[in-house]
Amino acid sequence: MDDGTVRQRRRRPPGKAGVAELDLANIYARHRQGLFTLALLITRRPDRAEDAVHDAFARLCGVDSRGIADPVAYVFAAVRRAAIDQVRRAKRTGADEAAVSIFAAGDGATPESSAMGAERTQWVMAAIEALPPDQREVVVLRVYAELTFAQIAEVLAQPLATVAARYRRSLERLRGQLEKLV
Amino acid sequence: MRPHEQDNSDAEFAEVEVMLRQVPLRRASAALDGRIAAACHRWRTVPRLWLVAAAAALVTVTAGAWALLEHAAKRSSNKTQITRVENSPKPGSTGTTAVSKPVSMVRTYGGIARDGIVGRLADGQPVERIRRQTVRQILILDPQRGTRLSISVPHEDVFVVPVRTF
Repeated sequence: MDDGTVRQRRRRPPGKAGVAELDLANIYARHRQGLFTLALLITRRPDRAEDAVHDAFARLCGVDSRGIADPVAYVFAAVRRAAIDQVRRAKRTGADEAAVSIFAAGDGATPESSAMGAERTQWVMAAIEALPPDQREVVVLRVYAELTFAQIAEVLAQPLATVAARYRRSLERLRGQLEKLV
Repeated sequence: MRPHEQDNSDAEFAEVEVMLRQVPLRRASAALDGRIAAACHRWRTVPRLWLVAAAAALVTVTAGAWALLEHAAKRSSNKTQITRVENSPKPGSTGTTAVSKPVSMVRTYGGIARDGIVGRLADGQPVERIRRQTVRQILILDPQRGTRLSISVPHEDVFVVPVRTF
């Protein structure tokens, strides 16, 4: 991934001179999978994850991008908040459905999952699922959403050092389990 | 960990990261693309000026329809009044009248009322509103039965005319 900055298209909508909106189409095109994966990691339901992404983008339409240092991190943070809202809403309604993993390997329906050894795939899935939630979130944002540590820190509203330390601890743990497997 | 070391951690954990990235992720449905496009489309392609113009047009149409309905209601209130004036033959009549067909007479009463200056034109010339109110009365006589039928039709014309100034 590049430095995470997004070229802003300066737009001047009628009636609001000088307002620059977020280039949401560009951000969505580049980070579609990462945004969905983050939402799915939190909601554990594909339909709710899509609802969260949609809700976040619907709220972000028309937002003035001035004063937003990193639009990508801003969008990820909005999707994360929307996903948390979805979970809270589901708890209020008492909906109790089976949790879904962020990985498709369990389905065995994709060529990637067929090509990769099923045992190794299952191990990676189990190892990531076994991580503490805060570490798992950092790993997903770093490895699958391909954000920088600075962006992850902004998304999670945590200090940069905290995020980096979480990532290091989680990968050390994963590496230790990998060595056992190999 | 110092900040400049943080993004260089990929090298240290490169093997683990490669292994993690090999696991395929669950993908979003194609419907999500359409939903996102629809969520952002309305603000991207429809300028807000058009939204304001559409709202103004809606208000104009509503006001016009209201005025039209009110005018129609006012016109319907100007009902033609049919009054049965007399139904008994005059005493002393012999019943041998030569006239056998009904006879009708029409009379119109009218007047003009001036409301005075009600506004001004764009160039400042005042305009005066004038109402011409008339009642058309139709009287039908039936010699055979000895009855008279009176029908009154009120009518009003409103004119707005510019007033010449000196």
